Amino acid sequence: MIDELNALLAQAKDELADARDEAQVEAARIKFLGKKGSLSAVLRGMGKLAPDERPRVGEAVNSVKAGIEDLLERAKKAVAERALDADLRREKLDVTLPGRPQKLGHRHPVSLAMDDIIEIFARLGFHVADGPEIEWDVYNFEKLCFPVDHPARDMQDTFSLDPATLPPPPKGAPDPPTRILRTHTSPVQIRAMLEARKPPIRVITPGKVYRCDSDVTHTPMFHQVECLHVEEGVSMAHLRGTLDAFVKAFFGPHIQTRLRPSYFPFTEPSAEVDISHPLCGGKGCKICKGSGWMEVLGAGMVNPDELSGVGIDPEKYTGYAFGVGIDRLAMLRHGIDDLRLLFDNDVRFLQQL
Amino acid sequence: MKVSLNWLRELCATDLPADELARRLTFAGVEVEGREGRGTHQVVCGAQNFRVGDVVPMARPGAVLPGGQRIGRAKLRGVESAGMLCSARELGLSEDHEGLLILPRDTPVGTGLEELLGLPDTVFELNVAPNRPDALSHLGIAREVHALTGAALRIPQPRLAEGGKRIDALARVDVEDAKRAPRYLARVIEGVRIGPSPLRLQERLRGCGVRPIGNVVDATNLALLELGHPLHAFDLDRLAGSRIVVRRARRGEPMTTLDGKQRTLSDDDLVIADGGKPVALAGVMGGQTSEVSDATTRILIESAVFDAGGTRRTARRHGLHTEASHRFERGADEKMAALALDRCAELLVQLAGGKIAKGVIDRYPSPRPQTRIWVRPARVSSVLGTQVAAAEVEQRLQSLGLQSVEGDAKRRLWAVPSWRGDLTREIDAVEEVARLRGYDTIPVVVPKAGVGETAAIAPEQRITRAARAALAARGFDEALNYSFVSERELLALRPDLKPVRVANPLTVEQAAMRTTILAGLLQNVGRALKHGAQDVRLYELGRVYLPRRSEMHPSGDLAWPVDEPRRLGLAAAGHRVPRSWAAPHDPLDFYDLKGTVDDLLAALDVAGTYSPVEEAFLHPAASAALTVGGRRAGVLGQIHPRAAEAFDVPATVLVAELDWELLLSQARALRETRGIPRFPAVARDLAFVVAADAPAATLLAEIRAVDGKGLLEDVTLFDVYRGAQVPVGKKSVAVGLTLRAPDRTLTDSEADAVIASVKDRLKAALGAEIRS
Repeated sequence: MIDELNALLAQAKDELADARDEAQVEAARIKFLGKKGSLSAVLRGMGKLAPDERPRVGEAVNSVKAGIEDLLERAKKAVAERALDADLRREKLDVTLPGRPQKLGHRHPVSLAMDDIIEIFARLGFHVADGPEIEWDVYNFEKLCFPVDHPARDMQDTFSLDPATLPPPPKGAPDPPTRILRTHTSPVQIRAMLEARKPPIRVITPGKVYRCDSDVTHTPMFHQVECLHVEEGVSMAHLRGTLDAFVKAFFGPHIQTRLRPSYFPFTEPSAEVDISHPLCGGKGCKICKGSGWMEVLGAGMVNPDELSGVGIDPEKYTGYAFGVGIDRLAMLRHGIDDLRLLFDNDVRFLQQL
Repeated sequence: MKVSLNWLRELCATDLPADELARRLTFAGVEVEGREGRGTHQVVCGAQNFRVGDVVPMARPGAVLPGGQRIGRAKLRGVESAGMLCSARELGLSEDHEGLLILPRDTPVGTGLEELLGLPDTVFELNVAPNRPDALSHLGIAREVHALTGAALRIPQPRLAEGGKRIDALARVDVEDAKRAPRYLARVIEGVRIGPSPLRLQERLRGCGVRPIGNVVDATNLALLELGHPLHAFDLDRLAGSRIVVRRARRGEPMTTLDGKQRTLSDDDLVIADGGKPVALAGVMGGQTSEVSDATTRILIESAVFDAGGTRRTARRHGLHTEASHRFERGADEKMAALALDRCAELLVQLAGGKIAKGVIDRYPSPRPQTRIWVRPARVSSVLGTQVAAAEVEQRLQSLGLQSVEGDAKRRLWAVPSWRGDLTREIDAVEEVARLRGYDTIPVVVPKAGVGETAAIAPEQRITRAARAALAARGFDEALNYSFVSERELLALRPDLKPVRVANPLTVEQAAMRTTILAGLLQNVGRALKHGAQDVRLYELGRVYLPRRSEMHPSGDLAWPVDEPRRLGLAAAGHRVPRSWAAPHDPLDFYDLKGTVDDLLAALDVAGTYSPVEEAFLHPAASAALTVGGRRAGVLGQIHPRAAEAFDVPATVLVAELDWELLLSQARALRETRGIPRFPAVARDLAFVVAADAPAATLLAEIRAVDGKGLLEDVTLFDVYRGAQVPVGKKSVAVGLTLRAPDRTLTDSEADAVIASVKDRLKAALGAEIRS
């Protein structure tokens, strides 16, 4: 009898494996577990068994019944799964059709570079200081140790403003109250020191500057960031360190810096700073004229006269400063070869970024 | 400035090759910007047009001229021609192409031109900083080379054979303004013969970028290029009264300068006058009346020092920039004036013959005292951030010609040579030591950031970042325009604002400081559409320049000269989404722009309200004012057709200009969270018909006004309909209401009560007819 039961289970297994749909599963259920089904037929023979055999056979019956029920359940699931699968495949998308577009905007390379610079200097402990673009001539030149009537002023061709179109100067304004478009961000140094009164001072001053010059490599407006650090014990070694840290953070750790002596009225000693060309890696290419170096910024130790001019004791405190053209840095990073592209705002250019 | 290496090596006997010399000079602060090789090619003669007896250069067959032309044999008009006669230009010597280069008659025929013109040379193009007038000469660069390499310096020692009359008997010099002309020296030479200088010297001048003129003028230029001090030669016989008077010009006094220009002088101009009229603009340019000519036999050489500021003012006033003014503006060496005068006299006699009159006129009432500076080696070390020994400091300063006066290893007083007017303070000496030893000797040390000093991320930075992200998500590209545009364009947008004008603009298109940020953006949009762009969305965040007192920095020494508030400008044209199979290609309209502003406000966590506005540059029926915190925060809308015409853009362009300072002040950089609601919401929709002109803001305000218990979480206006089934003059509006209680699950009857009162309110306040 037990053999009969096991054969039943094996038979159910075979038949359900071939079940195509729910109807076949149901038919199998009736066939095996129905009132007139195979299992019932076997059960009817139980009465003929010796009483001591009954529990063992009863157990076997229950186990075979559970086995068949489980098979039925699984077959049902498999059938449903197959049906769903077939259903899902009935209507297929053309996944190669273009996606539904949603235009994304792009950042301007100069403002992006400016954000990076602000972030890099924040890590070095510098905060952002602000100043006006229409600036007092005195702050743009005299306070920065540009002598009046000196050719150093020719280094920066200045846009002047029609006084008739300007408001009267406010109380306490510098004398004379001549106003110009600032030629560099350096006057913000003066403002930052006047405002802080006492070192340590660590600021950067990003912004627009203006010079009357326009050709392939000059636009009448461009962007600079000035870095100023005044503190006891600050030296030219710190200037080199800050420059190096900045340039590596901005362009990558492989970039080298090199200093050449130069002249700026507001720094002494002064230096022009070259970086190894980010595009050719210092090997020399067409853009860097084969030298492997690009001149990117001017730097130096703050002129002691500038410090005393804002009431800071130059014997006690020293400082360094540097100014860098952000537009040039952005151009180098993105391989932009024409400066004027930066201010044409041609969407065909902007959307490449 | 151009420097001939041959000449330089005569003054400082360095044997460093040109490459190394260029590198050393560059890294000591005298940048070698360029180099050119100079020399001549062997050319031999074949003739075409010459006077009998002339000696001219000829290129032989096979020769290649500097322009690349290869000389061969040819038949010209049936005659064999074996070679070519050359002009100076064909030989690459100058631009002179008026005819053949005529050589001196006594030139031995067949001589290589190289022998006549000097040895092949290298010319450095130097970039000399404005504080280093001492380096504007061959001697000056020789001094640098000496300081850098230790090679011996050979300063010219002119040997003059004076003879004949005493100078006092021949000429008289009066200096009326010794402040503007602190030193004035003169010599007289009689019996000169005007003629060309030897080719070798002409070539030397050309190499340094100076055109040879004649022996006398060439002598002054050679002395100038060698020693750096400007000199001027007058025809003594053309100086009325044989006099020189150094004085201020009289206002309006006329004078014709050497360039042939008639000038009207200012009383701030210093002139060299003779007994009557001005004969030179002091330190800038000579005049025609006293110019040396072929007939000149008696020369007065001037070697003077003119005040830097005054020279600069005169040069600028008359739009002149000359070798002389370039040097005087930077400061001349009072001592060098004497040496240069003698050197010039020596050269002049060598080139033009004549006799040097006995004696020198030297008007030098108050010699400038010698500058002395204390230098502490410890200070040198602390500024440079590296140890520099006292002995090295001393050696370097000595190599530059500074002389020790007194002191010890800790601190020493140095006398500065007359040519280094830029050295007045200890820091100047520090710089000299630094540049001579090389900036590469300075170590690289990153300063310690210092806890607490480290700058926090500024709220402004976070807010700006959030705003930019929102605009990028809305498809706006960032633009950066010039701050100056044409006044016409500004007035087309803001006729009420007179802009600040640039006094010396490069073009009229850049003559006025922008009073609105939209001018540039509209130009950008116009250009993009012309280039065929379908969709343009641009924003710019930047300043405008308003001629009024600055709100944030009104007074005191930190005052800003004008108000420069930042504005956020938006401009958009084209379609809602790019053309695609998957979405309708609808044009942008006002509500797209408003949605962008809504997103922006959401990014800043700022609440704003919109109301109709009359703004000159906006369409009166499709524009709005934005109010934030009770203040006008900007305007937005479709552009006015007149403004569209002024910028040549379609009238469908949408623009917004927002007050970024106000938005910043209202924005929150970091927000607090409230957690998630714990109880479910009830959603109900409501449709009603109201007057077509009832503003949506009023409807929403009425609905919200009902909610006394704070149960109305959200109202979404999801449909507005006009047309069939809605009476004329009416519109159907549908809203979705979300109701929620913070502390319990809202019951249906509570929700019903709220909805009922909303209906009542709409009926009572707006005469609404409720549809569902």
